[in-house]
Amino acid sequence: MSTAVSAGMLAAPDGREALLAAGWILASVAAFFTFRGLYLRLRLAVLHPVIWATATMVGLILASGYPRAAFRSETQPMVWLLGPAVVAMAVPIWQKRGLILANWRALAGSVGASLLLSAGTAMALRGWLGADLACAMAVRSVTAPVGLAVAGELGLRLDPVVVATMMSALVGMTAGPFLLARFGAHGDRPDSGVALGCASHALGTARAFELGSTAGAFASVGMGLSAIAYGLVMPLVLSLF
Amino acid sequence: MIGRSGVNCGPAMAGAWRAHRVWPRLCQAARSLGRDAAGMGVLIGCLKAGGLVQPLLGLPIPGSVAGLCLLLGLLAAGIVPEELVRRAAAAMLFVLPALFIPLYAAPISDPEFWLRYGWTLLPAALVGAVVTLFVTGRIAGLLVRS
Repeated sequence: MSTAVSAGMLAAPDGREALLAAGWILASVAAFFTFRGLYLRLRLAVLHPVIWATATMVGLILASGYPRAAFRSETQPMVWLLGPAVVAMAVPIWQKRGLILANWRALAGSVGASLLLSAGTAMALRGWLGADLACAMAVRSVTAPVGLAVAGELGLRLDPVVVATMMSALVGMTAGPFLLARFGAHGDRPDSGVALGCASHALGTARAFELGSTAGAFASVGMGLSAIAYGLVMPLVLSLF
Repeated sequence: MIGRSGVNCGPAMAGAWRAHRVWPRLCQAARSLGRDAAGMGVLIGCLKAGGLVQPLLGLPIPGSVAGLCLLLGLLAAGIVPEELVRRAAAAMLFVLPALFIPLYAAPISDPEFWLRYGWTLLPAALVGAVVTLFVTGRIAGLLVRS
């Protein structure tokens, strides 16, 4: 999310641009809800609508040869909505305050560990990866709107952040439960849920809900608390780089 | 027009009967719409207020995260009732995954991006994701058991 967009300074488009913007936004939303219908019917994480709707849009861009810069500027209204969506995360966190207070030690430990690990990796690999990729590695385990807001605040490139957060989400969603079972966290348990929420955010949380309601609830709390912790701490850590 | 009781009510009575049934529903819908609009206004207001934190405090905290903390504070203080923002927040979080799609599609469809960053970013992100899963899972497991 660029600073200009987060500040709500969307430029007024002309008629043709507005039509194209509406077309791309409608295509994105239509692709999402089409694949969502399939996902809800079959309940398989690998059919998550974000993956297949994104693949559809990538196919459309490549097949049409449409300029990516124009695509970005025309879909800015959708990207702007990420700001209110991050604020909206306060409500489920507030609703689950009982669960958070009852398990504060496990949640604080896991979110803190994820934060330290991400910051440590970024610092250790900065020389090899460079500032943009190190920042992407630092915010890979938090939901994309927060990661982008942190990177935007520091004036860093946003594309590596998008891809790093997406990779974290995909790894957690596809291989997360298998990997966690290898490490001793089997099935519908608080620890597997927290790990999926803290490491793989939204898609990890979707996968955790497939394991069961306990894992799902802990994953959504882990993701929400990570959003707060990363948003408050990571800009300060990265500004020291 | 035959009314429910079987008595012929006439068009005026039928209109009144319809109005009697439709009007409360319209009022209810208007009230819900008003509350949802107010809830959305609170979310955007918190986002805007959060944007003022950075220049005030001189800290590089994103406006959206500051807005999230502000809304949590307002909910905890009882200044904003949960009922007011519940449906607006649920609607925003419902559409949130769809908002990722143009964001993801732009860099993924860019061959130059993959040529420049792919060979370092992909392995680093893969290993990083596995290590984070392992460490957070272990720590959460130990702390839950203790």
